[in-house]
Amino acid sequence: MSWREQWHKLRQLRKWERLMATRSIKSRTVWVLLRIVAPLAVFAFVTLASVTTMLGLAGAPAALQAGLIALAAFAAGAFLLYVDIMVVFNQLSAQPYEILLAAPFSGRFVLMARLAAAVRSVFLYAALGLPLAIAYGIIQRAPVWYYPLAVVALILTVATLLALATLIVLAVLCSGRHRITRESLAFVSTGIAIAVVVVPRLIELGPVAQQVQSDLLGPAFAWIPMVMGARAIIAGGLGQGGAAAMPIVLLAATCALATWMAMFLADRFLHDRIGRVQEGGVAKRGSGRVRTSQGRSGSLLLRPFSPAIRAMVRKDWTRLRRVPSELLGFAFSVVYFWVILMHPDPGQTGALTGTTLPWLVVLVIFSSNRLTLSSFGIEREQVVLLLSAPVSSSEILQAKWLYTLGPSLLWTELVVAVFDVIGRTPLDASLWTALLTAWIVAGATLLSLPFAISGAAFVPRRAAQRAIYVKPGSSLSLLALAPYLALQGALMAFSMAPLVGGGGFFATFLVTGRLWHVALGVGASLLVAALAGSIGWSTGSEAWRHRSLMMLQSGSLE
Amino acid sequence: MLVAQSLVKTFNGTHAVDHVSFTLKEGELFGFLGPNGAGKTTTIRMLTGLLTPTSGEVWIGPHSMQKSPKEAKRRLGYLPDKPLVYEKLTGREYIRFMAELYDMPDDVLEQAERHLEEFELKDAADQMISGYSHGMKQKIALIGQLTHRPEVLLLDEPTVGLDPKGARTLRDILRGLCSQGVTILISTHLLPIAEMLCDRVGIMEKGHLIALGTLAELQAEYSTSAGLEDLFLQVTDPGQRGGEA
Repeated sequence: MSWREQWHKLRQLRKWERLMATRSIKSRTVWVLLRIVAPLAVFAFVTLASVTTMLGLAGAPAALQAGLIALAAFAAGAFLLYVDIMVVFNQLSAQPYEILLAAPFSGRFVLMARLAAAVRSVFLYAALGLPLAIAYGIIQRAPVWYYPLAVVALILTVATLLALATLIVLAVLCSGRHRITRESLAFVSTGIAIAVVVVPRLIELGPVAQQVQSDLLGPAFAWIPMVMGARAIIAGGLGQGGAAAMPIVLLAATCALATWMAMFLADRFLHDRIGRVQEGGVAKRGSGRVRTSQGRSGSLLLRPFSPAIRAMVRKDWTRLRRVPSELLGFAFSVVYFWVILMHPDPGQTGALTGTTLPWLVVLVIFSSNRLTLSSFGIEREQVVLLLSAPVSSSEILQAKWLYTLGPSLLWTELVVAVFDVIGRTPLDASLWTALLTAWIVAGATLLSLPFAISGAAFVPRRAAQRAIYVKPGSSLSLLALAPYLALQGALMAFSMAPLVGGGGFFATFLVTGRLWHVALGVGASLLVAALAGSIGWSTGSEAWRHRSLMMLQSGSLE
Repeated sequence: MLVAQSLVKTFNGTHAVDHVSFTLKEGELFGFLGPNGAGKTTTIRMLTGLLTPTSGEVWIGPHSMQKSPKEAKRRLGYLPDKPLVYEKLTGREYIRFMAELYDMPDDVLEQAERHLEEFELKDAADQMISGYSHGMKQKIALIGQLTHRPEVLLLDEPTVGLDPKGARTLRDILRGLCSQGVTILISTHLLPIAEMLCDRVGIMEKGHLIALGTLAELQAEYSTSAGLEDLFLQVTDPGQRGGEA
């Protein structure tokens, strides 16, 4: 089949997928909220954070401004690479791929058909970088041609990262002859993403660089696509057309090379190797008897809840032990945190950390919310089992929330404790931080419920080739939690001020060191968590009611 | 024990189920038959509380599915044609999950062990369900549904995917359950099995319950001595009846 015919087939396939997607969407208030209001809120939040920080640095040295662009590009790009790897992995390992494999299509066609659905949501990330680039252009009084160049640089950066992620996943898939479980593939892919972030830092961590520009924009980082993008934007902002063109050409070449290599691997190996991707997870041999529930009901967290809730949470936790790849996001967030913490801040203004910390907070909570997403996603047809049992919808939602809350709380508290130790935080401040973290995470996980319900693909048979547990676009909608987390971060800094002596991320809030800060900050934080929690719960309940009704009444389970 | 009272379900103005009524006695095994798209699954979903009827009511014992769904569902077991199991659990974990979901005492697990033995699943019970064949999944799903000792059991095509021995074991278990007073509704396209197993049958077509009774009663009503298969074709396809006549 010629390239032209394959392209035509691909467009036909996308047409059918779009048709199925539009039929599964109902225009209800909750969906308008999730699909329009939430993305706009994310964009507004990122715009506000980027523009205010960049304009705040209008009088700062050029090196600091350039460093801000470089660090933001590096941090966001690392996050995006991680997301891309997981999206590509999910797309390629999704069942059922037999329909495409059995048809007379080449490996590159199968690859493109798989990725076509993910491309749009991935490219939306490019829009999030625009406000920072525009603000940089304004403070540098950049020439008019800078703005289209910035757009091209952003799009090329995102495209290159997606191509590299595809190449990484395919390379893992095609290497060796052993059976590859989905689990092991997820672990290897995440390890590579982490290495991309960590290795340059290790290279640079000899004598600590005092100048930001000589650090992230130095030769050791030049091979990283997001740094190429940042270099193009920085040079373009300064009106240096020649210097801006070189990174653009390099980006385009990297993108083309990665795409060509991915296509080559797909053509040669995809049909043969994709069958090696198998279900992961091994259960230990049991006692040979069905164990009784006695002795398992002592879990402190679950004791106040009904037996049905306890059963559902335990069931999901057992599954999580068999599919630990869902916890990989947490590991990545720690590495990311470490990279930011180790970055030199020559001005000691907190501005560099200030720009990237919201991304980190989002990443931590994003990781925990993947658990909620998958917990709804795994129900799929099994949701009938729960709905036909004497279990209320409220109990199902509570169980899903608790399932996410347990590991998320454990992990977040652990990370907070470790960084308290590294930062030599006073004991009283550490305790307050731990306490604050508890309800911040509880509120965030509740707030994520509606996103999880709308993001989980319950009906694989309707979704045809896109039979994955979680829709690709769901990761973007989860970013809507960012404003909540940023507000909570501000309140945390506000309440901690008298305990840690001021300074840090939200320095503008740290007006005084009086103790009333603690009471006010904690009270406000609790209130915000409760408000967010109640919004999450009520919207989640409505989304769940609507989703289960839609599934049953549309006959999509038949 | 199970009463379907003038059930109606409308989807976008189309009657998928139109005024269907029947009553099942304690310990009765009822065959629910009909061609594809007749409304059987929609009716079963209303009986299980998955779908709310447009009008009509479902009673499980003294409890209305619409007014007290939790109590009604506690007495109900439902096995759809596609086994509803969690692939990342082992067989035994799944059984324990079902027992805990219904808050059952521990002695039900002893009974589950007996069922595992009867269905020859004992050796595979500690393996993850993802490695099971369709028939094994069907068996473990059925055992899961039996752990809470339902008084009414609704089975949608339960023999699909079962090997002959598994199908025989299923029949024996169903008969044993009926003798213990469990009411069973079984939806199937395998008419010889329905003829062999069921005390009464109901035949659905285009949303209507067009025939209801024992085989003898239906034979008398349609003036034929044919078996259930021929009777079914005669009832659901009058054209064929005319052709044959």
